[in-house]
Amino acid sequence: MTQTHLITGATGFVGAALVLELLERTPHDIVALVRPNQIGASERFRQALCKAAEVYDSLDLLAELGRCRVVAGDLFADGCGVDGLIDGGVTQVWHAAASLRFENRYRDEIRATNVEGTRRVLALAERLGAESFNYVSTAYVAGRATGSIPESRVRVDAIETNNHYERSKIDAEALVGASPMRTRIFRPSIVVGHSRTLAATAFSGFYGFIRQVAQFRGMVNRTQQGLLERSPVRIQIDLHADANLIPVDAVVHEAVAIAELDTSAGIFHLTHPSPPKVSTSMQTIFELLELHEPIFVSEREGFTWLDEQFDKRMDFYGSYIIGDKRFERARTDAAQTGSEPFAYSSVPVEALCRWYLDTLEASRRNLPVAR
Amino acid sequence: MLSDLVREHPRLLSVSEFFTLLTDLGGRISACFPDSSISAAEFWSILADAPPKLATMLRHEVAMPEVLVRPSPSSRFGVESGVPAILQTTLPYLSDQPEAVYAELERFVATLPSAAVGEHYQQIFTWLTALFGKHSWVERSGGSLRIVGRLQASFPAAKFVHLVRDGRNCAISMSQHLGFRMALIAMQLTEILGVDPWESADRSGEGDLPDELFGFLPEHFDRQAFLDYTTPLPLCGHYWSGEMLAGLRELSTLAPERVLTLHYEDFEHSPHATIARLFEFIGDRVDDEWIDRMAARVRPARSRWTELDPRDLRALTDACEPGFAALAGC
Repeated sequence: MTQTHLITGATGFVGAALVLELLERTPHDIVALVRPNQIGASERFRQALCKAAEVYDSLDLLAELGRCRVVAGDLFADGCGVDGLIDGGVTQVWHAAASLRFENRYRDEIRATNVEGTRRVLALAERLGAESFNYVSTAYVAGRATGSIPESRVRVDAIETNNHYERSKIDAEALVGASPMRTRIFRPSIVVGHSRTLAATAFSGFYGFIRQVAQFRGMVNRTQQGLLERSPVRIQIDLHADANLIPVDAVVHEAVAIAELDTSAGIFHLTHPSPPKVSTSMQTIFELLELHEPIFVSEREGFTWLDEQFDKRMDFYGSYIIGDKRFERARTDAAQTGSEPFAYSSVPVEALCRWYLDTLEASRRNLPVAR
Repeated sequence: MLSDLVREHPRLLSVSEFFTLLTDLGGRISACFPDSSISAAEFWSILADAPPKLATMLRHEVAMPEVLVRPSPSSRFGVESGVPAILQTTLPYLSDQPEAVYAELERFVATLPSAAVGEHYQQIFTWLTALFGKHSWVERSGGSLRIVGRLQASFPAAKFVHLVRDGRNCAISMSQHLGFRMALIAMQLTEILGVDPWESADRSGEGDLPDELFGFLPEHFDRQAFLDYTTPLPLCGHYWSGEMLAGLRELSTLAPERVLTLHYEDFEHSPHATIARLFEFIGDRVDDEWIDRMAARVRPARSRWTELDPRDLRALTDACEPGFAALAGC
């Protein structure tokens, strides 16, 4: 039976891929709740979907865009600003909109988007009589926990977090968990580009880390050309830690597969079953940026000033690189029984990095010369 | 010190801080040294455009001590318009009526034919030399090792004096210098944003800016945060080493008779001999009495690495090591 799915964050990295996945694998209609910018909500949605379809080599899906209706909305407004614009008939809500910022100055914005925004979307879903509420969270609600991370609720007050972003997602999960609707909380790990084309449409997470390293190299080079090629940086990491990178198409494939099962509910880890190690991923990034191979250490003792600066710049990514987290995914696997599983292969870290560094390079052509 | 020595010289014109300010503390190097020939109007635009970082510093009253001009209601240039680089130090250093000289300079530049930018610079330096009744000019800019390659190309017949100082003292001095602070902040902002925020309105990379740098964007520049900002000594040490490595490499391409390396400490220990050596190299010897007068003015440097605590000193010395190695034998 045809359903109607309401999606927030449809212009974002996971959201746009989700829309394409629903168009490809289901006959359902889609209502996209989009915050208008200077080009308007509809055009913003169209451009985001065209871009995603292009870079994921899925242009044929654009013929299905007629199944999508765009509604201008705003998570900061009461009723998400859509009063009267959406009638009933919404079967499932996907809440993928989020703030991925992390600096302290964005704390209010992060909470307003991720916590209060979730509260408003939940209220809207209830008012529309939606049967299911699917929330795109993050596996890093685990905060500083290490070892085996279960697919279960985190204890809001017990968990130690690394930043405002993690805290906001934990609080949002608590709101979702308390809802009377059937809720699914999807926890992707570090979402990266498409498994086939490598392309991505937004660049936080893994890409943010690469970018920070590139920026650090640029800053140091302006101070002393080639210093980081000659001198290694010491980095505190856990040598056993995984860099749990998961392609965006794997995330939406598994999420849609699970949501298509009427009975599924609860928490699902959308994480790579055999991720690469943080250490090798980091070595690859350094090599591609032509930096001296880093020295991995288990504590900050003995850090030079340069090491400290690098450490400070990478602070946000601490939860990715310090502490060995192994994400359980038994519930995720069980929930997909009977549907075609995503064909996981080993993560092409070098190719992903190369793809992003080329993209990054193109965006940094206007930098002034240093000499 | 060097600018003052040259200014006191009876036959030399001291062109002080011209390139540091014109390049907006290093942010406009390409714009100030275009590859192709430029017209008089294009050259005047280089001279007359108010450098945006310096404008921010003037607007927020955190200008470097070297900047001798302050925007005033009676001035042709105000806080909003900014002040052309040459009017900030170079001309006020030479004249009590810098804006009148500037107006004359504008008329002179308008007569110049299209030429390489180096020829244009030489034309205006020569013009200023004649205007002030001198025989030749010396340009001195702090931190000009950064552009020494471009200076060589622009002034193919010029001689170069490299004034070297113990990197640790230099780093201490840099860490307290507002211009250097601004340059380092701008460098970081530029690398993180992917554009120079004083030259571009693109803020798409703003989310990557750490909180401590956010307040230095030109649109919401925080004066107090700027004054409170600490420029770490090891950073200054790394910078100094970088300048030594790259600058010495570029200076080494010049014929030995075109480069004189002087150590700042030599001015302190044997001022007479060092000053004599300097002007002999420049080619305009002065009498002993004049040298004695100038030697009496040499003051010991204020920055003293020996006063640092052992931990800071170790970190700074480590950062300066590549520079010391590069300088060995100079």
